[in-house]
Amino acid sequence: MTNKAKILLIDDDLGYVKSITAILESKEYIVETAYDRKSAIEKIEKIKPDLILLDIMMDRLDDGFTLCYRLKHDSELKKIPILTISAVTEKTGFKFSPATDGEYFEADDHMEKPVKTSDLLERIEKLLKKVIK
Amino acid sequence: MGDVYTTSEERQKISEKATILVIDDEQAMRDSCYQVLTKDGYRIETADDGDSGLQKISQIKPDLVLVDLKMPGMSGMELLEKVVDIDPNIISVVITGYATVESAVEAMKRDAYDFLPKPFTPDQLRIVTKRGLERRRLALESARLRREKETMRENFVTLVSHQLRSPLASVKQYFGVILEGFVGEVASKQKEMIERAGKYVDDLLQLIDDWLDMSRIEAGNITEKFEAVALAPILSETLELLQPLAETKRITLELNLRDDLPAIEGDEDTLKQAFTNLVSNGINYNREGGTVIVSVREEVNDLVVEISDTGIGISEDDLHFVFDEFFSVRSEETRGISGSGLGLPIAKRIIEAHNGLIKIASELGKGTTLSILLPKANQKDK
Repeated sequence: MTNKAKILLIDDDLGYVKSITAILESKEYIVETAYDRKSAIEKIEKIKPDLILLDIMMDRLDDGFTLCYRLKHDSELKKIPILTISAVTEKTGFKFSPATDGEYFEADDHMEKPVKTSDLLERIEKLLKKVIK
Repeated sequence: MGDVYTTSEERQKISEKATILVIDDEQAMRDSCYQVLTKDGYRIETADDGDSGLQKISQIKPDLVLVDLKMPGMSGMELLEKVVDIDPNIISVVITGYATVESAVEAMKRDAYDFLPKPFTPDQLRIVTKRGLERRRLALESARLRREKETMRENFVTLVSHQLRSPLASVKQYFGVILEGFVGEVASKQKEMIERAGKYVDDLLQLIDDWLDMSRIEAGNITEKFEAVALAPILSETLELLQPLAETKRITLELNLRDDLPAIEGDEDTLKQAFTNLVSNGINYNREGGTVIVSVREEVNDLVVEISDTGIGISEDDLHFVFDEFFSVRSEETRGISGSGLGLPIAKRIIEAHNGLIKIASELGKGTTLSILLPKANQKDK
């Protein structure tokens, strides 16, 4: 059931997008991509993804945050689960996490790059199951 | 000595911000201070005793406070201490008819900036006030600059880490995808090489993290978070965390200390980090089945932590370099040991930011002992 889910991958790192796409397509997810905030918004409106994988730092330091905020404060789009992925970790300056910054960072889940394949797929499945419920 | 009257320009600049509070039980004193200082453009408030003075301080947030030492009720000295508690950046000037060296020293101990013995002339009052406010201006400015520098540094660190880590994370991700067969079958020879390559990337990622740690541990940063901390839980948690690593080489970790050790002054997180680096060195450079013993003893002003291992030891020549950044001993025995070479320098910086000392003694082939001295927390009540 969740296999035909549409996942939108938003990340400015082309190489990274390719590797994650390989993982997702192996599980028969339909993968769409966007490389910056503006085109991401356009894509979201057009294809209405079932889940969004979102990078944090793109053209600007806070692109991911801003996009996440915008989506979660939109009456329609807030239903789409967002899993944020970032190469910047707490050690290196990234101090936000959905667990501790609830109202400022409303992503449904967060992972650090590089991700373990099994871990990523598990979390995606979990988030998709939640929506269906 | 120069012009004691502030120029109208200076008056403008200072009076825009400066509020002065005069706390004295004598009406005549309050009135004359008011007269003199108002002429110079400052905003003056008054209070007739310690309690109402403290209330006013919380209300109006003055830049400078003139405090009479001898008042009924709360003494000037007690008042000075309470002022520091409310805001350590307020400039206090003590005025008193009983000027002695002792009272001056006592006042300075309570962070008074200056001392004005009664009776004083209007000019003397002006000079002391002007000096105090200048000091205030500088203190506020340096606090602002420090905050700015810190923000810039944090932004820099975030940017650099993103630029460096992001591509490496992508490489690792690629390797993972290839090794798991997502883009086709992988022969065992290819698998081996890709795994090796992955290890280089891991080492590099570790190096970046360590380097970022180094840049974060500048003395100014962590001392702000200092408080009285107990060493026992810090050390036992560190050893607990390193237990799995020790087990891979069948190494025994031992902790010897009294239950009732006094506290030391410091920051728990960075101390944990320092001890983790030191003890993991003791494990990594150890032999199979060896031991690492961590013990603490109390001395007059400090606690001394000793970390002893039964490892391969360090040659006399290399001992000179072990605290250098990026230095790692390169020998037959250390070939398999990876690391950024920053473990010891980071630990050293942390210890020194704690006003402590770290010393190393070693015998090649026998083992190494590190001695870490950390000052006890002050008896002064905080």
